[in-house]
Amino acid sequence: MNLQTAISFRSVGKYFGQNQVLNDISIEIPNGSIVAVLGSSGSGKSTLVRCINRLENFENGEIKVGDVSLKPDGVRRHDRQLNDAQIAKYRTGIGMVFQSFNLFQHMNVIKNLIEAPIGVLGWNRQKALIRARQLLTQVGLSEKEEAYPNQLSGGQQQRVAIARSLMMEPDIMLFDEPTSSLDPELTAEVLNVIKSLALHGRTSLIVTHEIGFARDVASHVIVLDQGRLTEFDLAEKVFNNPRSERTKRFFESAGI
Amino acid sequence: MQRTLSILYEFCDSLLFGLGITISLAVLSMVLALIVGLLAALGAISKNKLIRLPTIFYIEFCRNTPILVQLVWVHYAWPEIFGLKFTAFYSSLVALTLQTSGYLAEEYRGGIEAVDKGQVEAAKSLGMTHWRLMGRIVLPQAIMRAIPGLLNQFVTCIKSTSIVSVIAVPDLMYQAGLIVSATFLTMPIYTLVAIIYFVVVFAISRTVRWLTRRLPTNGYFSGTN
Repeated sequence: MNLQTAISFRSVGKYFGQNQVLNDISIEIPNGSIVAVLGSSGSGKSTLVRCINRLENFENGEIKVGDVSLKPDGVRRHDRQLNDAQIAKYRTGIGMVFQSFNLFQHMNVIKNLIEAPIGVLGWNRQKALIRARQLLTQVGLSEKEEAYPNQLSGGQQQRVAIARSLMMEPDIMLFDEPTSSLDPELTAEVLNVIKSLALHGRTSLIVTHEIGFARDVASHVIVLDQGRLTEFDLAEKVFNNPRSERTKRFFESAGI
Repeated sequence: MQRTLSILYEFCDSLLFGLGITISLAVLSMVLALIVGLLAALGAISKNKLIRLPTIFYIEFCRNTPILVQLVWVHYAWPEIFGLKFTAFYSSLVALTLQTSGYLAEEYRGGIEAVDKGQVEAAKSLGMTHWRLMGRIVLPQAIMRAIPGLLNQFVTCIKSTSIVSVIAVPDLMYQAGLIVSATFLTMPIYTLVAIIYFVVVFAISRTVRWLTRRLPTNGYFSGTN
């Protein structure tokens, strides 16, 4: 792995029971690249991204992120490669935005933002509040500090969730279908925030069905089909000249 | 009638004393069970088999043995099994705590399982360890969600205390028995006792219902209704 590689997959395989969801995936993702992860439902896109921050275990291969090497965990506790504290520390460098926002329902917006920086990174409250207010202004929600998640629209909740993950100042951002549960109007406001704020200089993986957005922001594209890697290259190459017929048809059906 | 009322008046103090014992037993065992039940619920969802299996056995044992059996078992068998000999009051407290903690553990466990897994994943992705995310994200929401169920178990707990008279704890029921054997006023005394239990339990369960309806729908309580 050279210095330019942020994330590398080596022959990664994953099963859900008998069903192979990732099949021999090998990719090297360069530092600072913005990778759109495309493919039809059930192609393994989300699973691929969730393996990176260890929300999913896998059965074969290796994932390297910086100097951390993730290998398959055994079934028993002492077969684990990394203990609970090591995995937690590793995850602080990787921000994740979920399809269902996943804000902490018992905390208002500002508390959602400062909880992990104070509790996990050990920031003092003052520093956390200042940073939180900056980010809330940047996502256009400075007047919603005191609101609880269930008082916000989906688009607002997702913008808070993005701000919450940026509080940790991660080097890597993972977006798992960030707009799939939003209607078109709200989708636009969230995509704007992702584009203007979250992607800057960070290696990012975005699982999305918004092909137009992917085309707009992505430097690289991964296309998966039934757990197999069908495309991985610079975005313009994949969009203009996909290698497989399957991808061509996928783009055609998406209107490209 | 005149005579009955004057006798009742005469024994008023001992009935009140009995009621005091009943309420203290219910409150103390509830407080203990709130703690024991929470620990049991945490044990029951532990990934470690050596913790999980014994805890699940404990919960099932507590829930699936009658309170009367638990009471006499603690009072008469624990001295031989564990070398623990309690006064009747403490045996009752232990038995009521066993029974109630089993039910409370289930209420807590339901609350914990109702917390949406997405929030747990979000907490993990922010670098929280298992215990931090349990303490800061899952339990605060789980406990608030469990409050109506926990309060209802308190009502059950008060009613269960009436069984402790069989090992001569001087609770309301036991006092009533004493007065009956001294005066032979079986009907009036037991009727009065039934009314006292009804008034106390009905008042508490109505309060529980009222409180439950007044829980806010935001923050800690979002998702309770």
